[in-house]
Amino acid sequence: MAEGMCSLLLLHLLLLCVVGSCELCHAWWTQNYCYDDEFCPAVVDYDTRGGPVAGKLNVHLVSHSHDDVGWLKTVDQYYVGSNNSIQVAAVQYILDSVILALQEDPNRKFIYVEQAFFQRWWREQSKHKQRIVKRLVKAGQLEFINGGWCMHDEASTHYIDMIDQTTLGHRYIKKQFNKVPRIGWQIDPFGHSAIQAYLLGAEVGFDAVFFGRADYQDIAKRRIDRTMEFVWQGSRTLGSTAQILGGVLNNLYVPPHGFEFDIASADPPIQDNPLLYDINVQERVDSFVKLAVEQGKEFRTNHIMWTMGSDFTYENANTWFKQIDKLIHYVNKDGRVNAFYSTPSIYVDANHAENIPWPLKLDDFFPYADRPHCYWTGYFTSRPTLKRYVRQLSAYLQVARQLEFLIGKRKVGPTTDSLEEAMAVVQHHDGISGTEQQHVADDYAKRLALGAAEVL
Amino acid sequence: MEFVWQGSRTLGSTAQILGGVLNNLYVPPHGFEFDIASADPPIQDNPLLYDINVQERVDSFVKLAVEQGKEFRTNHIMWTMGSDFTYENANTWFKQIDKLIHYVNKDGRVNAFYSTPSIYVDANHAENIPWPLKLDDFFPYADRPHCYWTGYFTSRPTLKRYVRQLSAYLQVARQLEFLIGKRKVGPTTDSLEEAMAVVQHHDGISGTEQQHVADDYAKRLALGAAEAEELVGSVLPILLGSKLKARYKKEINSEMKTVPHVGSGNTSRSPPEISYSPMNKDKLLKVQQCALLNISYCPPTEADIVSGKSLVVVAYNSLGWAREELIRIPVTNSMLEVKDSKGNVIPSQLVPLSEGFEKVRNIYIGDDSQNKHLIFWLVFYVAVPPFGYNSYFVTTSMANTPNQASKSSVEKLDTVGDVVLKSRDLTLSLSKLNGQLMHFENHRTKTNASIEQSYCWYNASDGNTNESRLQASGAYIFRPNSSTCFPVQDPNNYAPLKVIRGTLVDEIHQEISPWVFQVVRLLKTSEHVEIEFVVGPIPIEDDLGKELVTKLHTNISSVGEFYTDSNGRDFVKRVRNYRSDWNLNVTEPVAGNYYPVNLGIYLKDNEKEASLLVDRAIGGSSLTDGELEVMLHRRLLHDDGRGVAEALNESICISNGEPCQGLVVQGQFFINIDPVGNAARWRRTQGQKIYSPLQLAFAMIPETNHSTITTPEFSSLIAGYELPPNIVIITLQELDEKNLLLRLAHIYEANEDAELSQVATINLENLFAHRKIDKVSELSLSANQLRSKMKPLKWKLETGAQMVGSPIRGAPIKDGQFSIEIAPMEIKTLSIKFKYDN
Repeated sequence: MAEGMCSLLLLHLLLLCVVGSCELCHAWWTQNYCYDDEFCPAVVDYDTRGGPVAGKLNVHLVSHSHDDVGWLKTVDQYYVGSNNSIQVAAVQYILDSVILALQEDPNRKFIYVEQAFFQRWWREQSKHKQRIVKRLVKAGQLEFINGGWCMHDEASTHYIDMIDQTTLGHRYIKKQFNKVPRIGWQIDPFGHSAIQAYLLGAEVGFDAVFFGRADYQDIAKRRIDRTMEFVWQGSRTLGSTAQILGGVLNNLYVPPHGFEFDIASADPPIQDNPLLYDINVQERVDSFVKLAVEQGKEFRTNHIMWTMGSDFTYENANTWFKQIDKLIHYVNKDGRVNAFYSTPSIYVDANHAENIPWPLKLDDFFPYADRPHCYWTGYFTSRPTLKRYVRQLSAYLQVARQLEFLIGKRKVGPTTDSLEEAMAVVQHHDGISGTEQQHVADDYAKRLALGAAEVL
Repeated sequence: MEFVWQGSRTLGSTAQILGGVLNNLYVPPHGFEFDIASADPPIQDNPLLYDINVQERVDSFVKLAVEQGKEFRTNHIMWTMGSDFTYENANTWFKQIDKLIHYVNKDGRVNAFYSTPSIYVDANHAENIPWPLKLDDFFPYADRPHCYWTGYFTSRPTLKRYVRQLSAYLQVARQLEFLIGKRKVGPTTDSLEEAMAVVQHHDGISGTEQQHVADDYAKRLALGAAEAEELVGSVLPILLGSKLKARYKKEINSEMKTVPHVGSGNTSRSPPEISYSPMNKDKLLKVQQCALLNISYCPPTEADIVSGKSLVVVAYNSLGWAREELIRIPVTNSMLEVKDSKGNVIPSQLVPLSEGFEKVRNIYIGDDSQNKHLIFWLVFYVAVPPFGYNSYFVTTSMANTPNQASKSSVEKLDTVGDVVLKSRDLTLSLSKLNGQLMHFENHRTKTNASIEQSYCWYNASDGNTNESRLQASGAYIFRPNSSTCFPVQDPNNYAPLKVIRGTLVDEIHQEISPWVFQVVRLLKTSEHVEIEFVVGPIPIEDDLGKELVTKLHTNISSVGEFYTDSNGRDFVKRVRNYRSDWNLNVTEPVAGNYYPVNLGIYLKDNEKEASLLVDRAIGGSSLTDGELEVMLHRRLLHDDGRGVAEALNESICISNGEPCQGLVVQGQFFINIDPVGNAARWRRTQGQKIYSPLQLAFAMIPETNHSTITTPEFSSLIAGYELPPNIVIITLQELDEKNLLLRLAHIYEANEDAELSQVATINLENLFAHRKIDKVSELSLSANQLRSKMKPLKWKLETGAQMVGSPIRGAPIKDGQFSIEIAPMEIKTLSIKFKYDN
């Protein structure tokens, strides 16, 4: 109890230090940390405040974790962290640690995408923890992006299933947080459909959709033409009544070279402690500015987005946030560019406020090649029996739901819920796409079978 | 697995501790590692997800606990829930351990909880059961057959030497820092202290770190040493320029004879503090030091000593004993004379550099302009008071005056007849044929022994073996591919010996092979042999890793027994191919008999003891009766698979463009043969002198104007006092204003020496002629608590466990008294507060 009080006080004082009142703060530091004058130079209060600044290149740092709803491990193995010999990934710890890291500094932001994982985690949390998360969501520190059960595939999915799985996720977000996701975040699927743009983008109410993968020749030209971002009209029929801002991300969905800060990353952390060897602050800031300026040339406004995350990152969120805190502090002190914690929504709003014209994109982004001779067109057919099983159960789910409605949904006994969840899981871009490991495909089939059995 | 450990034969049960071997290295039992990247299964207890494993995990936990419980004595066992650099995300551990504790206790077969070693030990202690006794140590270590971790005893020998050298230097710098008072600004010993503390790491000085990490350690040491050097360089001129009188008188030099009486009314005991004001800064001497003296490089002494100038040599002695020792400085003039601080000319001798030294010097110094001059060693005896310094003056001399430094005679020997070197009491015979020592005769002690010293190398295993396949010799592991030690010297082609004779010292310079050079040195007053070696680059053109040893073969019948020191202190008896705690299955007849040597190694029979003292940590053994060997250098081509992931192939790259070459090691060892029972005195005294060499500083001043040196000789001790020969100052460090940390160590074990293995009594007031002691408290060794407050748990011994000796302890210091008793092998840690008059 006494310890809790103490840490609360500590947090409060820390906040004070961040927000202002420097004299008091300094006195406090001196009293509490500087036991020895000599060691004070190592204490830095990082200034992580900030937002867009007119007249400067604004670097929106978007912290995210791309969590596949099954791929090399099954969805539950990914959540729990089992089978780590295949891939080190444990979503439960990602959410645990992100929530703690967000609590440490109100300027930090994080976006979360896959509801299949978030809901698994949410159901395990205490009321107390849930209240903390709700506060973070309300404050805009944690924002749900995309918001479907998974980040669905766009080639082998049926639009009805896409709608279903998106609805499932959005329903929970609305119910639990009274929030409506604003941005599509299809950062990993291997090609992008017209349906994604106008139906699961515009008609869902999204203001924009971002993705990482487009044909390498297409991207090369877009960089030159500054058409990485565009108005996308996916439907010839609905045309401008169902358009959305589309955007190809600058570097797939990972940070620019040298700024990956996950626990096992080989990129250099910022060493700013004068008591230690190998200080690299200036070198890191120079690299940051150089990369930002280069990227700025290929995009239309004074706003660029850096995706600060990758596959199953943030299992220890501190390794990221501690470094990004320092980056923001030192880059803004340097002043050549302006960096801050952001989200795709903030980024889109900033772009929108520029009120500039955008190029038009029609139709879709198929097929996808990431380099010469490498067309990702095999997965259109991979695991044809799984693809058929899903299609079959899609129809069956509609039937079951209709019957359920006719008799009235019952509190006890079998429901369509587990088939709905199983179908939502398998829409994942390493699910129905057929690009998962065999044991994962088996797991998908098992989920479908169990869900279907309940409905039978 | 757990036992009462008595590490000291001398202190026995008065210095025992509960020792425990952990159950599973220091990692959790199989399946319970929860670090972020661990492949062990997390506890899946969520009924909404697949693959629930709670019962299976609990069963596995209980099974492992019960198994471990059978191998430990009480109802308490410890699981170490961590590993190397784990807990970067502590949540992955704690979340799982939370679940384990919850479900295991719910299951109820065993009881699990968060604990610490302290809680564990208290719980074990409360059981009040008897424990087995363990004596001595746990060397050498093998983790499986053929895999002895005895290579690291020698790995990176130059880093090991650098650390040893700086260890002594740190003590000197701390002493000087204390003498002048620790200053708020300017250089301190703190960074050297920290650098030294870092490098003591078990992958630091051990030599088992990667090369770039070894480089970083060396850099830290060098930066710390540079700051300490600046400190020493700023303090010495202040002392030299102060008005203090040299208080040391030579007549009384042993407390063994008389303990000087310290009169309370003695006015000489309350002089003012040694004062320093910036006013006289310009009048201070500018002194230089030479960190590269070990490779004969010293710009201030190599400078031309022109007529009218005088080279001041200040020798600082950090020991509490007065010392008379031969020092050596490189000079380029050949007509020099040396005066002591009273202006008397003293004997000096010029000795040519050996080829080995020229080689090392050329590698590191290269074509320095001064290097073009012929370099000699100028050697002369200095007499330095305890805990103080003395100054000597080197000037040019007229030709052919008797004062002049005498030239050595140089004889290149390829005629028949053995070589004989003689000192006052010692006669050494060496084979002219191969330069090997043959005979050792001490007339004073009537010791006569045949002795043969040689170099040979083991061929490091590349792992291409039937047994323990792929186990190569590496940074950790010593694994020769056979027990054969291949001679370094080509039996058909001996290089001629160079015999150097002079008034103070005789030397034999010898090129044993193109990569092994040595100097056999006999001082005219000495009773031991000093050997200086330069080895490397170890050739690897034949793709064979090599581990170089020197062997000393004597006619002593040691019947399998020999002795090596424990971290430079107690000697522990070793028995070849034998372990006192279990029946040894000998898989590696060489590597499995290697032990760490920090101070020395010796063997004996009923008549004689042959001892070899070292200048750094190395590995050593006795593989044949009468024979000692120590490993001096190793150059290996394979990793040994224990984690460092590099071959220990140290090389140096001096300048860009030139190819890197294997590391060259320069060092010394010391050999003596004494009548049995008399040897400890030499080992202990000489060992201390090797550890704490006189630290030299240099300055050039006008020959006639010595105004910057008003106190050429100084001792911090009260006039005429020196510490008894069994006591040394091991720490003298000003912690903060008015607080001095002093450690005094008794350097003899029980029964090691008839006279010196006795309790010594020291009056601390004798140590501080210039300060007045206010208060003394005795602390624990790490100086973080009062000794009287130390109340370690007492452990019962099993019946039948052999008690050793009846240890003696010095009485605790009495309140208000400054006299302290120190028993054999005791270290007294004292906090001293001084009185300040103003």
